[in-house]
This record gives sequence, C-alpha cells and structure tokens, in this order.
Amino acid sequence: MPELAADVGTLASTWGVLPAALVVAAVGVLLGVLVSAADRAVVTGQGVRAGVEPLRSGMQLLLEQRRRTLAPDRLLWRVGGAAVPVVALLSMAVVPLAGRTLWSTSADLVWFNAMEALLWAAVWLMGWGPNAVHSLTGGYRFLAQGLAYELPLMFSLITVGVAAGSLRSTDVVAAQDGLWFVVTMPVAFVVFVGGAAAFAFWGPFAAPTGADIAGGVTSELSGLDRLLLLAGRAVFLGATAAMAAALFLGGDAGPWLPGPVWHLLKTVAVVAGLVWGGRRLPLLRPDRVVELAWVVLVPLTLLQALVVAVLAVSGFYA
Amino acid sequence: MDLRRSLRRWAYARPRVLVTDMPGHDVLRWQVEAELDRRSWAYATSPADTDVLIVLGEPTGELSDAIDLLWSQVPTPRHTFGCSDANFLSRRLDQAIEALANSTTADANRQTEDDARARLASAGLADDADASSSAGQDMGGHAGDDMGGHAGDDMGGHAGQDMDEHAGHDMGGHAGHDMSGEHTGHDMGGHMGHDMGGHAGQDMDGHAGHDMGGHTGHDMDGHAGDDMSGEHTGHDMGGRMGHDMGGHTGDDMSGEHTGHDMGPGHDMGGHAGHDMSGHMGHDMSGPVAGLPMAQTAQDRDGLDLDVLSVALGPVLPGWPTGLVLRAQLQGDVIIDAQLSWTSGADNEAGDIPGPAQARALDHLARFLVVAGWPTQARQARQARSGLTSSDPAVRARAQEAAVRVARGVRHSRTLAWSVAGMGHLTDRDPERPDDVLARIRRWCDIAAGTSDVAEPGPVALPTLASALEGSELATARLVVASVEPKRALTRVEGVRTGA
Amino acid sequence: MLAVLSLLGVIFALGLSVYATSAVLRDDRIGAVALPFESGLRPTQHAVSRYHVRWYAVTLLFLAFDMEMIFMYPWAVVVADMGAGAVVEMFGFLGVLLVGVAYVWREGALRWT
Repeated sequence: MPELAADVGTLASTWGVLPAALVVAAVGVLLGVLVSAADRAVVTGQGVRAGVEPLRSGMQLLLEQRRRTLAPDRLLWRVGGAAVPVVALLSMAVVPLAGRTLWSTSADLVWFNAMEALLWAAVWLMGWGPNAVHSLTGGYRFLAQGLAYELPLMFSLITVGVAAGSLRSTDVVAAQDGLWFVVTMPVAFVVFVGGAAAFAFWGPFAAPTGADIAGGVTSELSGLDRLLLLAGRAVFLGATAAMAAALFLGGDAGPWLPGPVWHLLKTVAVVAGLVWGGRRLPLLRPDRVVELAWVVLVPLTLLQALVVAVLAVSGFYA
Repeated sequence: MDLRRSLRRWAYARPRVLVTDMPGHDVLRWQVEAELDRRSWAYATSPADTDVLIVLGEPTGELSDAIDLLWSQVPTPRHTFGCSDANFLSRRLDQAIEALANSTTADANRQTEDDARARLASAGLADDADASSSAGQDMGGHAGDDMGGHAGDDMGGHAGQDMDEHAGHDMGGHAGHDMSGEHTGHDMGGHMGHDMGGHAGQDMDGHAGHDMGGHTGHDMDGHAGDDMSGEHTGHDMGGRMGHDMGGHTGDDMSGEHTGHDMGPGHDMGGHAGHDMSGHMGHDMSGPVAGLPMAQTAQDRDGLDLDVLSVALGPVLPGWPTGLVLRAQLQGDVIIDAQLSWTSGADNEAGDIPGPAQARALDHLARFLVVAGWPTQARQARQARSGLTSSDPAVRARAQEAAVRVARGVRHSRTLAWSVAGMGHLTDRDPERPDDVLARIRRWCDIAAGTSDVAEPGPVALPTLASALEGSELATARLVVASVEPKRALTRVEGVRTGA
Repeated sequence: MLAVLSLLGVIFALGLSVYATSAVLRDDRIGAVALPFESGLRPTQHAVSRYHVRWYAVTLLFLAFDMEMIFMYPWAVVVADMGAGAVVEMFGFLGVLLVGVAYVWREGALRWT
C-alpha cells in the first residue's frame, strides 16, 4: 500500500481555525437547507418553487410558541433535541470541503460514525422526554431501527477504509485517483446513503417520526425545539451526502471545473438521488427492516468488504 | 414593526393545517384538502405541529370536548375556524394567514401547568361517562354499594377473574379484605379499562399502584371503621381525582380516616393533621402531577410488564374521526382493545356520499398517509378532487392519475412486503378480502375505476377490535386505515375483548 | 483538536443566536404547558414506563457485532500490508459470528411481530 497520507493540511491550518470552523458550520447549514428544499419539492410536488420553503418554515418555527407537556423529563428532552443539530454539525468536521477537512485525524471515519451513533441517545431522549405515548413509541422505534442500519453502515465505512488503507477522509479521496470507489463497492455506497436516511429517520425510514404515531418523537415539539430537531436531521443528511460524494464519488475530482464545484455537484446528485428514491417508497417498518438487514444486508456488506479486502491485498488499489 | 409584520406574514404564508371532519362531511373535507394541496400547505400530524385548526361541521358532545382539548395543545400563533360548506373557503384560508401574522402577545396560549392539571382533573366525569358506556357498564352503580358484605371476604384465588363479572362490585370494599392470596390476573379492564392484572401472588403490601382512578362517585367513607392496617398498602386512589394514597404502609388507616371525606375531587392536601409519616416516600401531589403511573400485567410468557392505558382517536390525523380505540399497551403491543364511537360520531350519517371511485381514492389517500407514503397520498387526493370536477378535461386527467396511483400502490412490492400478513379479520370469508394488503388492493381496483369490484362493506367494531389485539401500534393503525369501521346507532355496539 | 473545539464553539454560538433570535421575535417567551397529545382525550397514566421491547434479543446479537467492529477499524488500515492472512483471519471470525446470525434467524428472534 503506498503512502497516501500526503499531508494536504486541514482547513484550519489553511484559513485559520475560527474562519474554517465558521465556513464548515455554514456549509453544514446550507447543505441542510438544500436537503429540505429538495425533500419539500418532491413531497409537495412544487418543484423548484419549494426552494424557499425550508427558510420559511424555519422562520415560522422561530416565531412559534414553545410548549412543554405535563410532568416531562425536561432536561433530557431538551438535551436530546439540541444534541441532534450539534452532532450533525460536528460530523461536518471530517467531511472534506475544497479537498480538505476542518480536522484531520487517523480515524476520521470513526469520528463520523461516532457522531451518527450519538443519535441513538439523542433520539431516544427526545422520545422519552415529553412523557407522551406517541413520542415514547417513536423513541423506541428509532432504537429498533438502529439495530438494523448501524452494522451495514459501519461495514460500508470499513470497506472504504480497507480500500484506502486509511481512515482519514482526505486519504480516501486521494486513493480514488484512478477509480472512484463506487465502481468496486456499489453495495457499500448504496448502504451508506440508505443508512443516512435511516439514522436521520427520514423518508422510508421515518418510522420514529411516523404519521401513524402522530409524528412520534416530534409529536410534542413546537417552535424552536422542533426547528432544532428538523434542522439537525436535514444537516445530517446533507453532511452524509457530502461525505458519500467524498468517499465513493471521488470527492472534488473532475475535469474543467474547480474541485469544490465538482464536490458540490456530486453532493447535489446524491441528495437528488436520495430524495427521489426515498420518496418513491412507503414507510419501511423497523420490525421488517431488522430482519432484512441481518439476513441480507449484513452478509451482503461483509461480502462487499471481503471482495474489497481481496482486491486491496492483491494490490488493486495501490 | 411593519417589518416585523411583513416578516410574520411571509413566515406564515404556508401554515400547517389540522383538518378535523365531523361525520358526514367527507365531501367538504375533499374540497378543503383540494384547496390545501393546491396551496401546498402542509398537514399537521399533531396539535404541536398545528397552525390552523379547521373543524368541518358542527362538533357535538364528546367530539366537541376532544376538539377543545386539542385546541389547548396548539401553540400560538394559531387560528381556528369552523366550516360547514366550502363557500369562501379560499378567503377564509387567506384570513387564517392574516390572523396568524397579526396575532399578538395577548393571543398566546397561556395554559400553565396548573391549567393542564385542572384540565386533567376535570376529565373525570366526561371520561368516566364515556368509558362506562363504551364498556356497556354503569359505573354509577358502584357508588353506595354495601361494603359490609365484602368485609372479611377472602379474595384469594380470584385468579384470572374478569371484572365484567364483578359488575356493581365496589372497589372500596377491598378495604379489609384479605387480599394476601392469589390475586392473579384479576382484570379490572371492564371497569374503566384499567387493568389490574399482574397482582399475582402479592399480598396487599405489593398492591402499590393499585389504581382506583376514575371511580368518580366512589365513596370512601366506607373505609371508616375498617381495619385497614397493614393491608391497604399502596392503594392508589390517584387517577383523575388527583390524589395518591400510595404507600400507606403500616398506617392504622381506620383511625386516621374516620370521618374523612374522601369523596370525588377531594384534595388530599386538605387532610391537615393526617399522619403522613407512613407514606413511604410517596409524594401526594408533586411528581405524579395528578396522573398515576403505568400498571403492570403479565405478558404471554407470564412476565410482569408495565401496561399503559392509551386512547387512539377520536381526533387523530389519518384516523376515522370519532372512533376511539382504548388500548392497553405493553411496549407498543396492544394486549387489549376496546373500540367505540364517541357520541356525535356514531350514526349512519357518517357514510360518505359521492362517487364510489372518489370514495376509494379518499380511502387510499388516508391509508397512504398512515402507511407513510405522502407522495402517493397527495396524488390520490388530487385524483379524487379532479374526478368531481365539472370540466371533462380535468376529469380525464384525474382518471389517468387515479389509474396511476392505483397501479403504483397495487404493484408496490415494498408496501406488500411491509404490510403482508397483517390484519386478518376473524370471520374468514373466502369471498371477502382478508388482510390489509388484500383490502388495499381491492380499494385500488375501485379507485382505478376500471373494474366493477364491489365496495367492501363496513366492518363491525367487535371484529375489528379482535383483529387489533396482539398487534402493535403501527399495525393497528394500518388495519384500521384499511377498513371502513361500521357505524352503529348506539354506542352499546362498542366492544371490549378480553385479555 | 483545537479545530473541532472551535467548531463546537461556533455551533454553540450559532445555537445561542438561534435561541436569541427566537426569543426576540416570538410573542410568547414563557411557553405553554399542554397535556400530552392523546387524540383529544386526557391521558389516564404517565406515558413514561418500563417499555417492553420485544427485540431485546436482537440487541445482544448487535452487541456481539458492535464489539467486533472495534477490531475491524484498525484491521482495515493494515489489511493491505498484512496480506492474505489478515483477510482469512478476519473473515473467519466474521464467519463464526454469521453462524450465530443464522442461528438467531432460524430461532425467529429477528422477527417479533
């Protein structure tokens, strides 16, 4: 395996720590707006006119009264809600922008994985907090769903790491110099993007916020508290789309156009594919998904990892 | 301030709407939904998600109470209007935006925790009346029963008894009973739907959380003179009366309670001088906030698990307005289901008029909302609206859309995989669709308007209730959404199925 | 580390400004207390309870694999250098775990409804 860790530096070292952090957070928020606009466009059938709707909804929620329920677990409820946007934006720290990440460690992929895993706690707390049955049901649905998506998602991240010989995001992008990883690991790519929908409890994986339980974990949320949860989930979807573009679609590689534009285009393509595909499906019940995940997806992603490991050992990615 | 107002007007230009339809107003609901879809306004999933509450028709009785309670749960700015015809609908929706944008500090929902508790406490009478009638029992008869007859009764060995047989039994009479026997699975379900099962092999010390809530009219005077010492442990009088008698361990209750008025609505705080020292750390008013905790009952493996009493309906998006499912939940599994219509929603006037194809599309649309398929649901609604248009070109397009939706839903392998095998109705007639998927496919056939499939008849509530038992919440929602529940002339039709 | 801490700082600043904006713009700063939504009826019990999750068996299976992932991340970095031996060892181990999955599946523990 060649030394890929050509030190490209970090955004922090190039732009200064604070400006870089500001840019990363801003990009995260913009990606979130992009995702919700695309989602709204498909759900309401409005098309591009829906572009402004996420901002409008956001403003509306800022203006709305907050509410709490009778005898809630207020601390845990609010902590859970605030944690969703925080971990979503923290995951942006290892997403390459303009070919660099804000923070570069030897375990970037693990960091991304860890931020997403924190949602287990956050969403469950959201469900537990308001002392309401729909909400509680939603929280536990998320845990059941987690049992389904988490392992295939982790296996697909590991597959990427095997091919790149590194868990550093920028190394993974660099390793795709000749061939995008999506070519040799299509299963991992699809599972990663699908896993994003699942951990962001969105679209066909929205059982924790399902209409059949009056919105589940969101059922007692109004105003700011609702905004934080919905925004956090959109940012996470956006961040994952950008990460998917970096890990599987060569990141900022591409002819003629500048790198960041390529990365943006690929991210938009992933978002479009996710929203278009996700909204074509009805809700997938967690109890059915768990069985499918363990019986089909876990073996499939492991097979994918095996194929990539054999390729890596035979020097295919060198 | 003008800037602020225009900001608000912009922000509230697409409010989220909760539409509640009184029975017999389906065609009006179609018109409202068509206008909302045209404007791309979102449908609210819960009161917290609501900006505008639209009430179609005139709510009466318990439905009216339910809508009042719902309204108290809506955060401000908020707006509500009633609607009995579609005249000026568009203007009224515009006015809703204005009202939201112009709302002031004074309009804020000022409900405090005390208000919420008062609301909870005031529920007693209304809810009791409802529960008793839905269970077909007169709860009033419980008050003033002679308790003497029960005194000294050996309650041991009442294993698995259903309280339906205990009609007229006064719970107050349990004082002084020797409860230390096998009280296994004693099911109080019939009384208010409270399940007292799971008191297995416990003596009265273990009866903590014994819930007598909701027994409004219960006369506690009868306890005076009973020797309750050591036996009345943890007897919870909480519930709707808001007082918790839990943890009276070792108290000589007879001495303390003599002459105390324990009537409904009595505030335990008023028991000045009452010896509270034996209350074993139970707070009489604070953390429980006037509500009891979940009870326990045995699951199918004989494990003692928490059981939660939960109501679905009467007003729930995607749910037939007025239908009430009183369920006992272990986790999200319904172990006991009672179905009834609330007053004001129980007559045949609830039958939907309009062309069969449009009705089927409406049914599909509601099912698809519950099944978490908002894009197809919107298309089904739009096709439904188009079919009732006077313009032949619009109708032709709507027909195409209807066929598209019906085909999309009918042939969706994902939906089939997701709902397969659920909701078999007990009377398995080969002529009649049996599970959710079969029923939905039948609705699809009618919705496409290309075949002459007969409309599935309404399903009687007892049949539906027994199909719900043992299913989980998500399944129950899909099952209910897949049928048309039969409206009865009286609420006696309401049924409970034993656990 | 400094970078991620400053990102956290920026996030908190962003969060605070959202809270502040909302507090300035909205009419009501106190908030309302509502009964939890139960379809228009009053709740009869506290919803917080010992929620019976019938999928607890799956959580155990999940834990076994989750532990395994901890080994797999470092393995991923070195597998290309270690050669075929590392691949055989890791997938041999995973194969053993998959036998467990097959057993659990056969026992019907992956399906609880």
